[in-house]
Amino acid sequence: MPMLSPRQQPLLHAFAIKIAALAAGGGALVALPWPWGVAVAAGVALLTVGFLAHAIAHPRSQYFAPVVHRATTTRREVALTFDDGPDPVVTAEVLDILAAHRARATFFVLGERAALHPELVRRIQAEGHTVGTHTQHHRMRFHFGSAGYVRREIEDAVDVVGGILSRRPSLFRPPHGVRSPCFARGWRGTRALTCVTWSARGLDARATDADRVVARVEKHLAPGAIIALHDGTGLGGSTDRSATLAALPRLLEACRERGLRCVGLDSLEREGALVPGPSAFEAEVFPLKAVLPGVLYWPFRAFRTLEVASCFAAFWTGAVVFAWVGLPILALWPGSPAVKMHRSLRALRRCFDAFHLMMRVLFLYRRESGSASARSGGAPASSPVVLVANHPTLCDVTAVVSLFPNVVCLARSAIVKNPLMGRLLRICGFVPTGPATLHDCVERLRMGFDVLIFPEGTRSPREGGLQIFHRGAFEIAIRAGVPIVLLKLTCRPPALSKSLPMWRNPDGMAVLNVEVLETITPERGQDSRTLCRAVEKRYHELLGLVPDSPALEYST
Amino acid sequence: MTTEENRTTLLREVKQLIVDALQLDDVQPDSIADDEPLFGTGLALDSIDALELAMAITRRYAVKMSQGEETRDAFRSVGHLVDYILLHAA
Repeated sequence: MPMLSPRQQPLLHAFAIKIAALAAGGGALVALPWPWGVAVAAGVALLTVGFLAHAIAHPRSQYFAPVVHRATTTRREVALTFDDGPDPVVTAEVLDILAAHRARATFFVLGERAALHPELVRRIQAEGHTVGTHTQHHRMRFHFGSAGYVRREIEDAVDVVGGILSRRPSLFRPPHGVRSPCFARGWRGTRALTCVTWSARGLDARATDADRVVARVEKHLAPGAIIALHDGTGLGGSTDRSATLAALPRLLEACRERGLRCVGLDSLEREGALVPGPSAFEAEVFPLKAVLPGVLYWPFRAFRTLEVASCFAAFWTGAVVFAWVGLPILALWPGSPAVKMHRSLRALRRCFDAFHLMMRVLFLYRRESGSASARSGGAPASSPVVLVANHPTLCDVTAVVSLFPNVVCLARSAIVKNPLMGRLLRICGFVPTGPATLHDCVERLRMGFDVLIFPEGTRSPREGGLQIFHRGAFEIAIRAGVPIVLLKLTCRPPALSKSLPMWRNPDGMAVLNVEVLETITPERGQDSRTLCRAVEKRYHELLGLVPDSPALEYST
Repeated sequence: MTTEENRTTLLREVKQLIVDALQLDDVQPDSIADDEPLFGTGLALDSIDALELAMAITRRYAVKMSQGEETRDAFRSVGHLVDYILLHAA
């Protein structure tokens, strides 16, 4: 039986946890008499929540965002880190102690405090220490806030410190080390920051004494250790830093005894020792079939299909409940038809977000977007656009709709007429294909909606391929006089694509990447055929397809 | 005017209408055969053209062209279109 390397274990763990949870919970409900069945099922639910909490808050969890929890160095080096500063009294004392021991450290500063004490930040750098950031304000809202809020909190602090040091800090410590889904969404929108947690912490943010801080850290002192301490007062922490200040000389002494040198994280970064652990549970990373013995592989596959099926079920049930319960309640609030449509659409985006979270929790699929923030959220867009995209997977519609604030989609008339899904799509302003399509789409654009159209009219044929483009999207943009934004969607490994049935979903997680490529502003009265062929050609180039592929022989 | 003459006139008119409505600058109306396929091969029109053509025909002949099997059939060729108009314009 082949051994599982540490890299492959998370997926198997997750599988085992899910199987165990389902078996125990379901079995208990069926087999045990009341109230024992319910009690056991509740226990299982608690365990599952525990697992999620672990995924979000454990310093080593790579689940929602890749993090560095220790340096992969063979040299005898450790990194002391200080959060929540700079503080005019404590940080200055910490710097004095470090200087006396000729030790280097890293300070994850808060943007607002750095702005109050820029001289301290400059002193930190001047004495050879590393400066990282720890958000602008360190508020509880950071853990639950919108992607935009999280991004602002991170970027504001980077801007403040970058302004003081004339060099942008590249290291970031998430508050409390928590990487919630909310955090991960916002963090992905920021510029390449390395997320650093810790391998040991003194828990000195709350009231404690130096002995305990030293005891907690000392047993973890080993090459590559990253130690979290505090030189400022964080959210919900005590203002008394005397334990930290008393513990620090003893810790430095302990390092010296063990022959460990205290270095700043930037020297480890230059050494290439700050590498996130194996991230997400992706199929390329986990050639599962080669690793898992056959006996485990096929049950795993079967379970996987069941998970995909449960997502389909959740999607359709969710759509029906949302259409017949959620939307009627929403409609009770007053407003013009356009306002109501925007409101419904906003609610739909939230539902899609929840749906994506579900697929992500099941390790099935996640979306990634560096640049989707190009269109800001909230109010109706003042300058609506036609969004065109290739269509590699079924999941991309929900992804694009939930990433862009005001997008309605052109949908096949059969779906809009579908008794389960139709009502929902009609209320949210989706446009069916048919004789009135052009008119309706132009109308939506006038109302301030972006209109998403897949010019292929169906899903792209195979990974990276394209069908012939139809010119409707371009005709609409020309008639409405709005720009066209090209989106490039890539789904790797392919999942729920045209030629891939549900049960052939990949072993690992499929990642959908949404990339905003460029904006084309068509001239009034321009010929949509020419424009369509030009954009089609552009997509062939962008997707790296051979330029003389059959689609280009299509006469103009 | 006999039915046959009427049909010939209408054929010529519809061909002109196709060229005008769809701005097919490089196509002579007379070069379109009565049974030449309009979509896919032949003139190779697309769905947007179909919409425009349907609107033009509705305006000109007051014939309703809604979605459906019959309409789709009518768009097979100029001949089919004319038959459709003759049938519904009365």
